[in-house]
Amino acid sequence: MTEMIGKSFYIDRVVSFSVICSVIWSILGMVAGVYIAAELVAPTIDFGQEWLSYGRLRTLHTNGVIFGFGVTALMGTAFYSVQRTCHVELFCPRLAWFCVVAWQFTVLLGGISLLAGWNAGKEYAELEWPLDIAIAVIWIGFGIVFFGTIVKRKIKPIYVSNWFYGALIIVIAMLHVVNSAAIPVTLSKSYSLFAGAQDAIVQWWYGHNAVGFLLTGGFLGMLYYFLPKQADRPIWSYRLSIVAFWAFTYSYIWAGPHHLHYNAIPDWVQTLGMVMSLILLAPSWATMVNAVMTVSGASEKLKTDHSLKFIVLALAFYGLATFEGPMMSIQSVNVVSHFTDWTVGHVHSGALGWNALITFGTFYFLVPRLFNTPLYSKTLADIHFWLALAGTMLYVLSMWGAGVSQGLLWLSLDDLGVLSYGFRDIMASMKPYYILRLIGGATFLAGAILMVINFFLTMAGRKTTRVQIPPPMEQSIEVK
Amino acid sequence: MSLLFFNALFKRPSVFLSQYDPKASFVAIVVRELWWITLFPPIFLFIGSLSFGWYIGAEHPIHLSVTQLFLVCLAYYILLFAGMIGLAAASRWMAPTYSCTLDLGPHMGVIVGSASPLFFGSLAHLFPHVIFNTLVFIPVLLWSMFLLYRAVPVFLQTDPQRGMLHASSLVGVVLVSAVSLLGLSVGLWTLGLGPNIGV
Repeated sequence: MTEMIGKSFYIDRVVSFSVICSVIWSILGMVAGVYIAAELVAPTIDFGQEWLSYGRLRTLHTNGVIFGFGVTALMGTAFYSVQRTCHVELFCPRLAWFCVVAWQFTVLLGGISLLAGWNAGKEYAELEWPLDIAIAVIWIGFGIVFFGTIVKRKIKPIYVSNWFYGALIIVIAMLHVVNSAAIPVTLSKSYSLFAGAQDAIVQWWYGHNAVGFLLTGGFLGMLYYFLPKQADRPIWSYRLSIVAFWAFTYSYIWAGPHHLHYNAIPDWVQTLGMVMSLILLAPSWATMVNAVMTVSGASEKLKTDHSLKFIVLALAFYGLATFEGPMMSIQSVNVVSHFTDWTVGHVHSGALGWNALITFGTFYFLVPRLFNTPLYSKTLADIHFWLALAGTMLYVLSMWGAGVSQGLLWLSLDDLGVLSYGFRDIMASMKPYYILRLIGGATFLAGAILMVINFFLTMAGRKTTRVQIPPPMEQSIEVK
Repeated sequence: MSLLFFNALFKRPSVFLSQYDPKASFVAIVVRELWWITLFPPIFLFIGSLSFGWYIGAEHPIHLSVTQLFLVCLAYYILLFAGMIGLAAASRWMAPTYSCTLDLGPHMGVIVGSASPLFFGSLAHLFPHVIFNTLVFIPVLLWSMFLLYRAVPVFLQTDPQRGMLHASSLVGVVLVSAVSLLGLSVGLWTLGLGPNIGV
């Protein structure tokens, strides 16, 4: 048995390919983000071209970073970690390759379709029905590879990172299929099966849980595998991680209606969304405490492992974003924060501070191991760290300032009860904040470009190293 | 008597760190420095708002009555004073995790020293225009964060790696506190508890 396992190797080339595609998408998506940030300062730089307009580039930005950068990173890291936590090679490797390659084509075609003006009109679900079908097929393939690997595992317990990746696959499939249900009219146009308030509720059930199970849960899967590996010690409390997983899974799914406060949906649905959002703070912070305590015992690693710094910082922003979200779901706060740049700042404290930094930290860990060579430049990685911190802080602070100003000005009434300020006047006063946001975004992008250069110089002329699958150890499981 | 406030502002970081007195007690730092440096922001805000009004982004400033302004500034002072002590307490609470000193004095010292640029930067409150203040406070905040990361290992007597983790945890506490204040202020405004600015 041992001899047979000794001849098996992990399937890592597909992981390397995912990492390369992911970092390319990160740059493309962020370039689109910086460009639209610039358009908010100087609107004429769309040069009268529809495909360069804010409305089209904005969806290209969100789809590029979430589905191109984020999902590709999640596929790659899920394939890497599930093999190692199960001590087996991937189930059906050709299907794994199909998923990753087909996903790249789908995101590419999706981006082109968005630039061409095909848009289903649902936030974070803008792609039209042919691409929705492609996504569903690829996602089923992702599930078959992932769960097939779990089924043939050599280690009996299923490690917690796999619970989070598994929830990502199952819940996103459910959300995508239901929310994308539509009647096609032409190749490029369809109408949702749902109408009115129901459509809004379904959309934000999807939208919020895409944030929950993809941008939070999926990346927690990444955290739970790669943090202990980088810290070279087990999770501080495995029991807490499992409790947090179930509490997270149960409470997140209800929170969507907080996106629809003061809209034409029943009051009790809004209140339910708010209450469940507040409850969500407990499992979110339980995970944060678990991760902080894990890393706190590994301070010596910081001397040699630069990637750990990214994860430490990502945890601080994870704590911020998961606190800020429930707070903004409180109706008396939401009345000011909704429809303002505060929401944009909140999203980016999560997207830049948490998702991007945890992914960068993971990639800095993965690339040298996948190619069996040291990182080309630790200095470049250090510069990237400080650029990422400065960029995120600039972005978040400028949007806090802009958002609170907007919220208060939208609501200001004069003595006769008439709105004191017009929309145009308020937006005109936002220019300095938008310049700061542009500088913040460009700073963050500059750091990411340094990372890509660093990675390509590290990988240059090298192939993915083959790693033998070690035999599973005889062990007694003690859950702390 | 060497004060953290002036050392942090006017000396090179290495000199600021080397001149720290590790025996300075919590009470000594509060009595010598904390009570008066936390007066700067509310006093500057009071003078600025009375002179120019309060610009929150619109063309015309909002003018508050002297009584309202006094109450806002008083609340600001109490919050700053309590907030600084709260941060020192949070730092002390996390100390065993990062093998830092358990004496509360150095924790108060690191918070006061790191925050000194922010109190100095509150000069911007003399013209309480929100955009102007944002422009001033972003670089000042980055300076403060730099001092925090440098000061934690020295003041709290731990190794640089644990110091980095401790400082990052403090940044997390500060960010969450800041956004809490933002939410609390907005919530109180919309519930009618706060200055009358038409909201």
